[in-house]
Amino acid sequence: MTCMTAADRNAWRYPGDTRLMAALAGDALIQQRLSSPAYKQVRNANRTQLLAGAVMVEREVLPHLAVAVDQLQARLPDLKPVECFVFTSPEINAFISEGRTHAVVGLSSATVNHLDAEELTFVLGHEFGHAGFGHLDMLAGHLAVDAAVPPAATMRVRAWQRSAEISADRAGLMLCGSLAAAARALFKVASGIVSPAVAVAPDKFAGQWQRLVDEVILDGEREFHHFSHPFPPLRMRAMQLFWNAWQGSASTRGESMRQVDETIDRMLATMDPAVATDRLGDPLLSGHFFWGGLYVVTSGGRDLHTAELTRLASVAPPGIEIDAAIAEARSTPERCRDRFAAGFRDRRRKFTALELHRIVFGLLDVASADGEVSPPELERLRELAGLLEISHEACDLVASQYQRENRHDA
Amino acid sequence: MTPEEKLVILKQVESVAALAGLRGAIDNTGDHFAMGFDLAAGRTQRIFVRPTGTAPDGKTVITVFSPARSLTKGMFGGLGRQEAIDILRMNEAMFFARFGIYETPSEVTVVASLDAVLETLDANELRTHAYAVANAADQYEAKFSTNRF
Repeated sequence: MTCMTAADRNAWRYPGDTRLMAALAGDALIQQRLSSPAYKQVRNANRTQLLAGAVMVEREVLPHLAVAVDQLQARLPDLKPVECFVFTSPEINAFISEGRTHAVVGLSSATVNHLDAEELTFVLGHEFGHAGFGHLDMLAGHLAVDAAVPPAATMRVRAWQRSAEISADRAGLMLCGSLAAAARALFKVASGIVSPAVAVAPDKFAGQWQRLVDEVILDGEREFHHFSHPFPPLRMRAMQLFWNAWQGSASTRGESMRQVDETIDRMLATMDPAVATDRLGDPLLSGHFFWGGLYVVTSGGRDLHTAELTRLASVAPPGIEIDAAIAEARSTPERCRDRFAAGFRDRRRKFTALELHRIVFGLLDVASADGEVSPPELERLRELAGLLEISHEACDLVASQYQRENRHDA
Repeated sequence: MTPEEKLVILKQVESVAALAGLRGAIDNTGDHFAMGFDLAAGRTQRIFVRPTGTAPDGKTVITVFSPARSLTKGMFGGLGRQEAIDILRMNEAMFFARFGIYETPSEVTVVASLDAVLETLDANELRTHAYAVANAADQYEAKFSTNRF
């Protein structure tokens, strides 16, 4: 059984977690809240509360759990000593918090009763991962409900929490060493179903992600930013992508991991598009950027510029064959336009003005990837804007605003 | 609110205004998005939008406002009692806007204004808000036979 050093862990830590945590740690208000007496009290109270309402795991009482905890601690020797408690609850649940001298892990009785050894290792490894990555310093659960923290900062805290869960899932997966066990554990936690007859295939579970995304896009739902955890199918898909990249050839692992992390950035942006810093990164509008952008850039009948192709590829919905889509856009461009219009028509929630503006700016981003927006491209842009019920005059005003801001970076 | 946060909000206001076909610009102070309106009978009115704060659900509140009258403070200056009562009466009868006063150490400015939630504001709504505020402010200003704003 090999040890995992901090350097090992950082090699597979999700970079979004590192980035967002650093931003929060640098925020003056967050620093001030974390150093306030109320937060110090929280740190001190956790262990006392568990001693009062739970049982401490000791080798004589729960030998299999104590052994699992000891084994994980042996693999992560640089962590603070861990004390483990079991509290009564029918829900499969676990948490970790920072005590004065120990990290304190709490496991519900359902977790101990219903998870097998591998699943338990995944859940414990996930919690140990939080400690190993320094997540416990942030007291995010308290910051998120702190009245002194303004809503915009709360959203950043929640966005970081979701990223931190991705890193912790990776820790659980690496420590238990089985994607199937991780899938079973996550399924049991999310569904509460513990029957041994349940067969959870990681592929099937991860495959629920695309159906969920389609639903979120159709609903135009942007209110998931208060969730502390990513959607379960997102977590499963993120673990699957990570696992496949990590198991691949060592020579290509770096590039594979980079691509996986970018994909996960986009997946998480579905829960909080505000964290997508690139405007074309809004996952709820990517179909509009792709079909509308394709319709605009194929207007002159010329070959597409490499930069236009790259930009289109960056917003292509999953499963789209880009070359085939371009060929179709040349032969029957109205199909592209109809798909763009269908995305507008089929959404169950009205588009906000800011979303409409983002669509027009996004189309301009695609069209200007080659350095200019040609007159035929502008004509098609006006046509698409008309489908969004934006007048030609307003479309031209947005286009001039775009040019003024010199957004094209080709 | 930091100047950077303010700028982000004002840029979003500019975006909604563009979709509404309203021309304008963020002013040099970085505090407002400013637009000019041509009204009936050759009258004009300046409209401003400022970030006001955050609603309990975290959404951004903006205020569309237009100055209607400016009075110098002093023993015989400022806003008189009767004029203040008239403003309250007008507020009761008016829809889509309200009058209030904005004070500096030397001046009292009567402004017509209206609040809106930026994230859910649509382009037509902004246009309606802007015209409502412009008309309210202009009508008040016209009572004093001026067209300063």
